[in-house]
Amino acid sequence: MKKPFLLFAIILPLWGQGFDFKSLDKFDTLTQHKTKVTLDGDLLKLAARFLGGDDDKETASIKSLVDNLKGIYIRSWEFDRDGQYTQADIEPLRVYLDREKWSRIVESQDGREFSEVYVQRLPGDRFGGVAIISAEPRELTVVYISGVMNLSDLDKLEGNMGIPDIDLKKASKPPPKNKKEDEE
Amino acid sequence: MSFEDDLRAALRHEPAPTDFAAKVLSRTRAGWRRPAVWAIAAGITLAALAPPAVLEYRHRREERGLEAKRELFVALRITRAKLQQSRERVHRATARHIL
Amino acid sequence: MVFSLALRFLRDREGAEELAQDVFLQLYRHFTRIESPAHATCWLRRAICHRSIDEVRKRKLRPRIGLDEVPEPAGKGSQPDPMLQSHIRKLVGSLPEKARMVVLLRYQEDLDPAEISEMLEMPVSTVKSHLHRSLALLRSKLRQEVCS
Repeated sequence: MKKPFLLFAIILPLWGQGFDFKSLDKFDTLTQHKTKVTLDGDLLKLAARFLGGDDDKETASIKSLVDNLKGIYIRSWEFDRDGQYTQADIEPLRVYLDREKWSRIVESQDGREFSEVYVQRLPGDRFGGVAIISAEPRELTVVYISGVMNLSDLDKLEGNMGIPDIDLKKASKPPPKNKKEDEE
Repeated sequence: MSFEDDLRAALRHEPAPTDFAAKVLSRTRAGWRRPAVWAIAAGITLAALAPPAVLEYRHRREERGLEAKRELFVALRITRAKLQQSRERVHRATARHIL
Repeated sequence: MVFSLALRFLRDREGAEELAQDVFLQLYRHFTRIESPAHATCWLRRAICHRSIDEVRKRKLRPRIGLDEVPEPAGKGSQPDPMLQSHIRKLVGSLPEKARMVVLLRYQEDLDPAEISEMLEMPVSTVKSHLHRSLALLRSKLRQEVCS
């Protein structure tokens, strides 16, 4: 039976003093199953260019979202056992977010799993960024997206946008061997 | 690979023939009489003919672009998953509270 | 870039070489007006686009040998599917001129619609419409030919 996983999402503002993402690098040594995405500045623009979307509404929708973003940072670790991290490891991030005046719009707990969603509010119905904290006993995930968004962009993030689902655990594991090759 | 990726791959730059620059220069009327202009024109011609280094640069840029696109999709999938998970946890917590 | 654009557009190696040479000669004659290497690149790209479109229109008035009969240039390096890519190039070559040039500027030169609009002096909406329709047509033709 699958044990619950702890996921942490950490919101890290890029402007101002900025949070040091490297402080989370210590978790890299605790597991082989990790996902890291860092797309900022020119790399994000390059990704947007290669999106295409000239004849595809869904891709065009993603492109219009990405065009206004400054950076996307994802860190996710899957551990082999409980207790590989503690609240103290992520508390500095919460303190930083609180100091930068991000608003926590979601805080929920379900057993040993909890989630927090933060946004940086701007005048009108706009946001300067979104961050998600999701924690489970054996998984920690950090999501930080910086850039001007509105409510419909948040809906897009939660929606399908034509992107098929992916099992993160399968994605982080090496591909299975070809049985036919083995038999030969 | 998506169709657009196939299209990009199919339309990769084709280098000009090796004697192209020489042919262009031989057609200029001034020829050797205006060496400074000739040298500059040759420079631009050669620079604009996409030598192997430039082709290599474009190829690498394309690879980086496709890799960045793949990472973007991973990031968006994870974001969607976590937002949906948060919503589900809120619903479950609310349901327990009501019950 | 110049030769490659002409080649993909005209699908005629000899014609592309001749046109590319003409464009460089034109550059040489107007060299004093060029302000920088970036300006030269932009100028060359614009010149070859317009000259290529004009050339195709002239050829319609005086038919030449079928372009489909021209052999594909040899592929270089390792490519995932040379047959597919060759076929795609032929299909691109069968698009109407303006649409063909828009597709080349987008997928060969990696320009965005606003840059293409400026290059070809057409509205951005027209560029996007060309892209949308051309991709749909190319996909459909490729699918039909694969199935048959």
